[in-house]
Amino acid sequence: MTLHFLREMDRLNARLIEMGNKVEEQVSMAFMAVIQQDEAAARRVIRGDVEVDNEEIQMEEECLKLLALYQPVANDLRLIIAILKINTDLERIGDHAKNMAEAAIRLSASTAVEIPESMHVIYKQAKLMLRKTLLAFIETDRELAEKVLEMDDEVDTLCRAELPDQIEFIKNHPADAGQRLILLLVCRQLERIGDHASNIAEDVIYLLSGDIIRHGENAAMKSH
Amino acid sequence: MNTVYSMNDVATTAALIDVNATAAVSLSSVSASGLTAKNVNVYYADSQALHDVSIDIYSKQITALIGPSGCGKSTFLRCLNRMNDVVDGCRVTGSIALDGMDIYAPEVDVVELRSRIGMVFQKPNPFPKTVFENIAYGPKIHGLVEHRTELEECVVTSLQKAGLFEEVKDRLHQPATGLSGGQQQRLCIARAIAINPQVLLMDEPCSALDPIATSKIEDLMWELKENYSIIIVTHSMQQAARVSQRTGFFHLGDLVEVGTTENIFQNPVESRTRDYITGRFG
Repeated sequence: MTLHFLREMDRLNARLIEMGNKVEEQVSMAFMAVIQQDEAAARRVIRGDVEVDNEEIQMEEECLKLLALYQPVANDLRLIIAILKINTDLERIGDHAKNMAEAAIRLSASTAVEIPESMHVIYKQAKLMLRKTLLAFIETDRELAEKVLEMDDEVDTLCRAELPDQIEFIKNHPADAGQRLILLLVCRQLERIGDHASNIAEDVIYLLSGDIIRHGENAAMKSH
Repeated sequence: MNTVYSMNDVATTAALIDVNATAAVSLSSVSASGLTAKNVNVYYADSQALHDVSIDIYSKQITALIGPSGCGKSTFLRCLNRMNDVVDGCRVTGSIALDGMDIYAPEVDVVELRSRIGMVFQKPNPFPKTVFENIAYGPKIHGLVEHRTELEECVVTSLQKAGLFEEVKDRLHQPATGLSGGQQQRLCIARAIAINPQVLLMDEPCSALDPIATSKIEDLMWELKENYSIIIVTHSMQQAARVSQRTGFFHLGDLVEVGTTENIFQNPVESRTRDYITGRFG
């Protein structure tokens, strides 16, 4: 069983990394579509999300097959569980990229809007979180995963700060209210991408140590 | 205490027949401390089979011993009711205590010891007698029952505890060898518990059985652990994971790691344990 199982696991691992790269690309393309209000690029992202969704289902089926056929334990079991969960988070990140692309299409229908610098910062942070969390998985690096968790608070703070700024802008420029609400929606997508990157970081920590660190220090669920 | 015992001179004829039937009568009160092994070494002539094995067997729990062939798990199991006494050249050092009593102390009656620590073997081994006589033999020869009705009650209760009564109630007086393999194994378990042991040792009790019979034995073990401490040697890691609360992993005569079954199978501490349970070797 071992050799065959290990090969299957390697393949699954590689597919997850590939899916991570695809999702990362989707996020970048979606935000670029927002910046440039580029409808064609946005539609490419929406089409790309179908591939991500299909891949998610195939990955899940593959994980369930391995669980049923090999009944893995210990680190092998944790790896499959982590892959199952990361797979779901990646698919959700793909959905947020798609939501941004839809926002880009709506923006492209009106007059051009300049994206505030603060949103570029949020995007860079969320994107960096995603990159680092995938690297933490690939390199099995707990420290890096912990850094990603720290970064999530920064993204949340930046997103919270965006709301009063945009409200102020809408007060002064009521004609642009629609555009600004769409930008707030984009901001919300970036914040959620950061949350999912954090979930993946938690899964990496679980994979490496067996510790379930979800819900902070007060959580009753600790794996040992 | 680190006594050296020579086994050649303490081999008993009782050990040569089924130990479940060689019951002594006086049963000490069950203590929560159960069975404890400290620094147990076993030698077969010049070859050392076990190295400093220490483990506490918890009362009313199932402890599974796993490891590759030749790792020493069965050797250790056989130390626990002195089955190794009958092996020429076998020498045991260290201490094994049942409720604080050193089971290798010279004054210990091996026959009585084996009535407190029963054993079920890999291959079902019913006596060539009827179902009833198989169960009745132990309690009868050791005077655990006084009247026929008491004996009948003991037989029925033991068969019920072993989950076998409904299947054999109409053929209690037919040969036990006519039962299926799974039924024979449950009969052996019934025979073991008929003399009310404190600990049950099971040496790969399901390896000769089909999945359905295996499942029945596993269900039975779950029920029996309410009243007995059970130690099972198994080659099936899935079985160890399914039935036991604690698991010990043996490798090359070392008890590498022992802990809750949950921890051993989810997050073992030792790399040798991890490599074995994930199939990297063995």
